[in-house]
Formats: sequence, C-alpha cells, structure tokens
Amino acid sequence: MNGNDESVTQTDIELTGYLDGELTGEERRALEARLAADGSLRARRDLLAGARPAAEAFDLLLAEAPEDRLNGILDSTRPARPTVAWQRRRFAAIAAALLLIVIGGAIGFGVSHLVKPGNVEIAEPANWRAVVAEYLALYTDDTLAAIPDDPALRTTELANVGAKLSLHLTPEDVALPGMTLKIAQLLEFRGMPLAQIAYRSESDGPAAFCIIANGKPDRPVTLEQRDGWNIAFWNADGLGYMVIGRGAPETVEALATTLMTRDL
Amino acid sequence: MTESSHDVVRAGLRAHLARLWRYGLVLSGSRDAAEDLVQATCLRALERAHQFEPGTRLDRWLMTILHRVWLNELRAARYRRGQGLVDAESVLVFDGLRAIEANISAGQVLRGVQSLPEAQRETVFLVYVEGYTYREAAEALDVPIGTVMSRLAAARAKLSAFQENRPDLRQVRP
Repeated sequence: MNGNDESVTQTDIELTGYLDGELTGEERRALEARLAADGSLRARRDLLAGARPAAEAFDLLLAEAPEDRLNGILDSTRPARPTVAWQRRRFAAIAAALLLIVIGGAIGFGVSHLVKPGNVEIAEPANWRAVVAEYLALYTDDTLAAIPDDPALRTTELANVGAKLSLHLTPEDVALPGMTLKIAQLLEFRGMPLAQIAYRSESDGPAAFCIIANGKPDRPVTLEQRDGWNIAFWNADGLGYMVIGRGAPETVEALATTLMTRDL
Repeated sequence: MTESSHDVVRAGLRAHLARLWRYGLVLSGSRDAAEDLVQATCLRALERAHQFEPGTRLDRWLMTILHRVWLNELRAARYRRGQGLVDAESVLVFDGLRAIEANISAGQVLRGVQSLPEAQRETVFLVYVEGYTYREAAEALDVPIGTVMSRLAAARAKLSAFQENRPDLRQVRP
C-alpha cells in the first residue's frame, strides 16, 4: 500500500511534526515565527492538535483481549519440537459436540438437535489439529467399515466439500496408497470451513486428510504427535492441511508428501 | 537457541500478549486475525529467540515481528482467500464497549482511526498509542521517516474532518 498521501500539504506535515515535538530547534523557531504572524496557520494548528487520537481510547481494547486463549496459544507454542503434552480437557466439550455431528451425519441419526450450543460452555481451542485428533480418536475400524463404498457418492461429496474451500477435489486427487477412501464431509472450526476426508487402512485403522481455510502463513510439513496419533501438517495459500493416522511418523509424512505433490 | 534467551522471550510474550493482540486488531480489523497474528508471532519469536539482543526493548522487537508476519504472510493470505479486509465502518471491533457515556468519545476515536487507510492507521497507532518516535516508527515499519511524517499529517487532517462530520458525537467531547 502506498503510504504517501498526495493530498497532504507540507504545512500540515510541519505542523504535525511541531505538535509531536519532532522538529529541530531551528525548524521549530521558524515555524513559531510564522505562527505568530498568521492567524489561519494557528487555526490549522489547533484543528490538527484536536485530531490527535487519545491513547486512552485504545486502553479499552487491552481489556478486550481474550487473555485466556492468548495464554493458551503461547503455552502450546513449542517451536521445532513436537508437542506431546496437551490440555485435553479444554477440548473435550467441542470434540464431543463435533463427534455427535460427525457420527450423526455418518450413520444417519439426526442427533444434532441434541446439541444446544447455548447450554454448552465451549472453551474455543486455538488449535484445529487438537480437535481433529480428539474426535478421530473415537473412530473405530467399524465406524468406517459401516460406510458403504460408493465411488459416485464419494465424487459428489468431494466436489461439494472442495467447493467450500475453492479446491477441485476428486477421488483421484486424494487417493492414498494402502488406504480406502470412506467419506468426505464438511465441518466447521471457529467459523472456518474444515474438510475431513476419512480413510480406512487395513494395517493402521482410521486415518484422515483434513483441510481448513484458516488464512495462515505458509509453512512446510511439520510432524507432531497428539494422543498417540501421528500428524503431518503444512500450510499453503491460506489453507491448512493435515494428515493424521496411527501409522509410523515416516508413513504419515510420506502420505503428506504424496498429497502435497498433487495440485489440488 | 540457549534456554535463557528462549525463557526471556517466552516471558516477554506472556507480558505483552494483550498489547500484541491489540496491534493485530488494529492492523487487521478482525479479532480472529488478531489471534492468528499473536499465534504466528509467538512461534516466530520463540524460533528466533537467539536473535533478540538483551538490553533492547523486547516489546518493540515483538511488535516488529507481528507487523512483518501481517505484511508478508497473513495479510496476503487473507486477500488470497477472498476474506479481504472488513469494511472499516462495519467492523464490530468495539462491540464489547457498551455505549455508556464515558465510552462514547473513546468509541469515536477508535472508529476514526479504524476508518483511516491501513498505512496511516498503523503509523498513528505506533506513534500516538505505543509512543514510538518518528524514527522508531520508521524503523519498525521499514519506511523513510518522511513517510511517517506525511502519514501522520494526512491522518490528523482526515481525523479532524471525521470529527467535523460527526457533530452528534463531537458534542460529547469536552
């Protein structure tokens, strides 16, 4: 953005520097001499002086800061080291709510009416991966085995989910070696669309590839462990990606690398 | 990274979380983005803790990191995702401030600053709220000092007009 405002006058710049105490002694004396002789210049000075925003107004914003969440963010920031310890309880409520929606959607129970957000106190977690790990932990092989394999349905699901993320997703795009694609569904995390693409692996059980439109900066693939899950996550073009499974870290990382090379 | 520099930076982050969030809010106009900015700033600062020079101001160092993250990564990413920046007048940045009398003029100040173009807004914030000198602001924003001067002058001119156009709000000012 061009910060130079072409309409700004040299006079306003000088007066502002004067009001802010940023003129040199010589500049200040010269301007003061002009001010003494020029009533309209004094009026302009007074107008600009009255337009200085009061810092006190911004103090009110400090009180608005979500201190608990910010502290949680700091606590969970562990650079260059996988985070193992995690405050599990904070996520229990939202994970349970998500699970009801996921299982309800998958099995066909209309249980969403049981979730009354107004009555459930949900501490918003700062990390979507923690939430995904929490609810994926409740999947069993049987959860996914119960979903019939239906390539046409998967194609539709992926197209719908992809549309929400401005991605073109097809079964071929998200196919993974040794994994059966079981379901693609759209969830939401803190108002951001979250795609969950679930797989069943013969050897390692449930796994998932998730995409969230979180607008975060690009970052390369990073590995972490949460509650026995291995996770490989990365960010590109404002989208957050993660692959999560029970396989070895190298296996999960290889899956992530495979997906990264697909131009989604 | 030595353990001590890491600890110093972590403690500094802890002490300045609210201020960093406020800066993120002023830059982005969005609470959600402000939180993301704090998160990215925590990560960057801890990754680069060894680069912090003891004896210099840690809060300023953190603010500069946050600004860089905003400029280089988050801002662009939000534009790319089509989220853009929220229209200044519609931002409910101050919805927590109930319209009690004492806060009306504060709300007016905040809305006025929010209505400024981003470059002017960030400069006004650093100099008039965070107390940066012109030179410090120029370094923090990586612009010439003359740019800081013209931004502040343009901002003051706009804010005076903003007040003129809102006589209903202006009358509550002392």
